[in-house]
Amino acid sequence: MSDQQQDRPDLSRRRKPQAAPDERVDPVDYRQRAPTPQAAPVVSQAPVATAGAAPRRGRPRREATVPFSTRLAPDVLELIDAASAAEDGATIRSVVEAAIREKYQTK
Amino acid sequence: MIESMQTLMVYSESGGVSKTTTAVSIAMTAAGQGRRTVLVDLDPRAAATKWLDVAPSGEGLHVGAILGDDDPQGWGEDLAVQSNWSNNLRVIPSARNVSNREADRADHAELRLRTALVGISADLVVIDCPNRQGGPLILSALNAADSIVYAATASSDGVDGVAGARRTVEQFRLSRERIGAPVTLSEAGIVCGRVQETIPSRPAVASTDELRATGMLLMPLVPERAIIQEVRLTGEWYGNYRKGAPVLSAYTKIVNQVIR
Repeated sequence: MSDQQQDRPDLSRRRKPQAAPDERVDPVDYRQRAPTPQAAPVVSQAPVATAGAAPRRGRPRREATVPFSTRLAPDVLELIDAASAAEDGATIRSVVEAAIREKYQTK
Repeated sequence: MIESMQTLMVYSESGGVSKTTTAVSIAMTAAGQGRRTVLVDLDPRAAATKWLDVAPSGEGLHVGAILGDDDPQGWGEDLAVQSNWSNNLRVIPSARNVSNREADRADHAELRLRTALVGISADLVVIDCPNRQGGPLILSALNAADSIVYAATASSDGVDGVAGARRTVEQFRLSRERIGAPVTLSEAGIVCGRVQETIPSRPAVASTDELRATGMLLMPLVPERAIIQEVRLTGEWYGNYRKGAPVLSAYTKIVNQVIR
């Protein structure tokens, strides 16, 4: 044991908390760091006819949406319900999107 | 002998089985009994954070900061924000993008929460866990906690969530034993919440019997009361209301069994 050894750590030198580097990345957009690219193994190929892209099977992919998980005031919920019920074919999503575009879209 | 801090995790692999209600109730009841308590919201859904209506002290300064840094020593103390429910209750809040940490497989990331809580000024730390089947968030809680309470409702989801959670805990213990590490995690019991006090349905009776058969069901069963959902909307403590008294009474008896 050294005489120079301190009794306890100097807390004033401790690092202050900081946000995670990906704090502003939404989980929907989160991607892990790409793995290091590796040389693809060389495989001798028998000549084959060039095929076009495989036809897509099944149902088309749904459009990307952002889950809207913010809690809303009851009177706003009533407004949304009333607006979507009053307009033929309107959905909750279309009503909310139209309202936000009208209020905040700059162009 | 100096009494050491207790770190209790509340866990189930099912969603909607009273995990947050149980975690918040244990934390607030203990705080009301004079224990310095810190509630760690480890769930990216941040239900406890919303209920207690607390916000991080700065951008990104929630539990995700702890889990995203390889040296978060002392950050538990720094990130705990005071709750306005009780002078004895602080909260380390959560946020949606804590979910990013579930893809973070850095070495020893599962020890960061434990590191951050060392030396924190508290008698009790309660961790509100997300409903995950293992994974980085649950491993963080398992490494930080010394006791575990399973949360359940009298339903097949409740039973299934406890069974899965116990399997996760058993696997965690086996992994620790395999590397010769001490296993200090103890099972404090199962809390069964939202129990109808009127004539129970047959599935509810069967589920309660299954929970009782584990030998870990804590009594009393916590009664269902609408006040719980009401105060979760308004960000208040149900113990402040007459309608919340039966629930508070049940959780007080449970706290006396699970808190050292």
